[in-house]
Amino acid sequence: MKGLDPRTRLLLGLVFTVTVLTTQTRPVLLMEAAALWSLLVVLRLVRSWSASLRLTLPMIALVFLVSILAFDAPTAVDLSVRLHNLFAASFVFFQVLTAEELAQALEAMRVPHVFVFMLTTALRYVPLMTQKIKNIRAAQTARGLDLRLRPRNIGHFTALVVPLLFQAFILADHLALAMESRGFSRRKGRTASRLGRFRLQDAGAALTALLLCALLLWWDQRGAV
Amino acid sequence: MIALEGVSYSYSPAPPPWILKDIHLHVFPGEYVALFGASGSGKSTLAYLLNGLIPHFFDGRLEGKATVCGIDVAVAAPGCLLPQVGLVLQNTDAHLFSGTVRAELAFGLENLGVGRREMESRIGEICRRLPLQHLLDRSPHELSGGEKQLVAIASVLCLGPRVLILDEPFAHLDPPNRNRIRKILRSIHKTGTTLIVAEHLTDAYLRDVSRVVVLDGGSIRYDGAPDTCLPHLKAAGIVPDYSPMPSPVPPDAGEIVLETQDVGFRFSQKAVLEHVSFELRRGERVAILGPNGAGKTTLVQILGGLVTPTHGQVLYRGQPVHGRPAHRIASQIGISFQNPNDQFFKPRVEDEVLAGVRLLGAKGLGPPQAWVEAVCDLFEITPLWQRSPYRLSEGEKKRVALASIAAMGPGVLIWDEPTAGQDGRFRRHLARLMGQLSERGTATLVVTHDLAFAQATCTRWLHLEKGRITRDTSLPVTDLHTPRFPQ
Repeated sequence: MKGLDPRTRLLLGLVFTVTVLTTQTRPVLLMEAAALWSLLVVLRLVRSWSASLRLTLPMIALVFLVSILAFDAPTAVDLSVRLHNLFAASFVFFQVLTAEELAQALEAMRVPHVFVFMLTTALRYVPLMTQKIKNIRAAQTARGLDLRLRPRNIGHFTALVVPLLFQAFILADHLALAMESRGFSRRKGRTASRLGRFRLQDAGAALTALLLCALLLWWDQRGAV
Repeated sequence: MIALEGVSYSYSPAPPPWILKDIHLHVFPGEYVALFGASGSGKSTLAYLLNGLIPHFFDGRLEGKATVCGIDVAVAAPGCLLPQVGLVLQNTDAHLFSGTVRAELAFGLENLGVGRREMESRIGEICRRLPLQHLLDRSPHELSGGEKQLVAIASVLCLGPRVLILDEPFAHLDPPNRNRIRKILRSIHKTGTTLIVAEHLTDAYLRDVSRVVVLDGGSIRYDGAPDTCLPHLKAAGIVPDYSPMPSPVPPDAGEIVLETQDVGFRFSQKAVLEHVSFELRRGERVAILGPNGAGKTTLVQILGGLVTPTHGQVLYRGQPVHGRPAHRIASQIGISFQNPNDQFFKPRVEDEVLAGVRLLGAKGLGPPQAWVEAVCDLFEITPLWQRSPYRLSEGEKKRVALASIAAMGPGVLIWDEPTAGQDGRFRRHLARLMGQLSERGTATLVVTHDLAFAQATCTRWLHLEKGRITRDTSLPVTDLHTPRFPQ
């Protein structure tokens, strides 16, 4: 997968996500789930996927619970499997395509550099902001504020949000300085350090994926009989 | 190379206040200049002026004439000055905004329109010089503080600047990483690059510089050789002149307030802390020292009940700390973390300082009013009472953050890197505060890389290395006031 051009990986991710969102019948949804799990095994991502299930499983369980109360058990199963597939597809997508590769793919697809830069920078700062949240949480808990998720603690969360926002503004300011210092405003004649190469294997992978997804959609349209 | 003639600058279009006042400065090719100044003295402003961020990025007022490599900065934007001047910002998290180190190094070259082959060659050469090859495919957020600084320097060096300006490159590094950066700067200087390092830390790197410029209140106070600058650094509040501390241990010391018993912590099957045992007595002042990654922050979090140890326990006056509600722990053990901005969430300093006090008061654990007033007096907070904590200087922010913890009346105060990024004036003030709190019976534990501060203030050092306490000693009183400045 890593050997493919980032544009191909982006295309595969988008096609599969659209397929997951479009299909409705249970056999097709289960087939998609099986395909995703096979992909996780082949790409040796099962361990990290299992770790991420700690976050996603409660959400899937909640959807199942709400659906079973609002509709019926079969609908609840279908919705839960679909949500699982969506999470799994997104997980695989972000594991096989780094932020830099995503930027490379988008730039190769002639998306303006400013938008690509905004996207990749936002992704770059997710871990930093997560760390900041942890630091703020520790600092406020050390002052005696109970920040555990309890209804009675809702008022305390301003102590988490206000410093986070303030630090995000400071970071944005410093980021602008750093970008300007290294010539971000010089748009004319900008070059790219890496250009992807669309090769035969990319065409093969894209065609196979499109064909498989078309088959799944066709099967789904026929009621998966 | 650089010529400043009567340069004044104000961030306000209608001055005052002037941040730079009538600066006359000439820097010649190949010089290595240390630009010193206390917080707010105008160091960063001068650095921004030299790479054209001022006046093109800030809407202030510039007077006088500033030329860099023969280019008038009032005319040329940072992009035009870019091949000549490189600036490494203080905040490496902001400086490194790309997804990988490789992309970071390429960013400036791409903006300059450098061809791909040339780009690869320049990146390869810088990676060999520094060396950085092993970091190329890593994300900046995975790097250590020293590595981040290294990559930030490399990202600018790739552009081949004739003048390299670094804004506080040593401020948040531990001594081994400071030495590493120092060596790299020395090697860059040997290649003929003009170096300007804006700092308020006076460290061993001063032996490498050819010239020292001291800024004080926006004006140049001293411009000359490094070996005669010490009195000026002291007068400008850069090198702290620590006063003799009060008696190291108060007369009624002896009661153990905090005790760690064989504390261990494992994360992802790795031992972060192992067999950490020590006692802290009433009024004692103890420093925890050690390199980055030694487990100091984890230890602080365990002591404050924020993280539960996987082995052993922490006792406050004989009672286990863990398992108690946060407010109860906060009334006994106060922690002030490195970044004061992590704490501030109130619009006024008064509310910020009293937030914890009011919270404890509501739980029936509030400190006596006299104590709160004494803390506000000690920390000289009252003049800031009505101001917004976000609009204070870095030193004032730190003072408010420390006061808000001390006001809660804990028996133990833990300060995590209280002097990081702070000037000598603040460090001297902090040392005095620590002595006064100690006299009142508060035990203080300081986690720091600042050996001079630890030496001046603490009666005992605990050295933490690879998660273990490798040294626990009391310093002889005669060693307490050794100056930091290299003689």
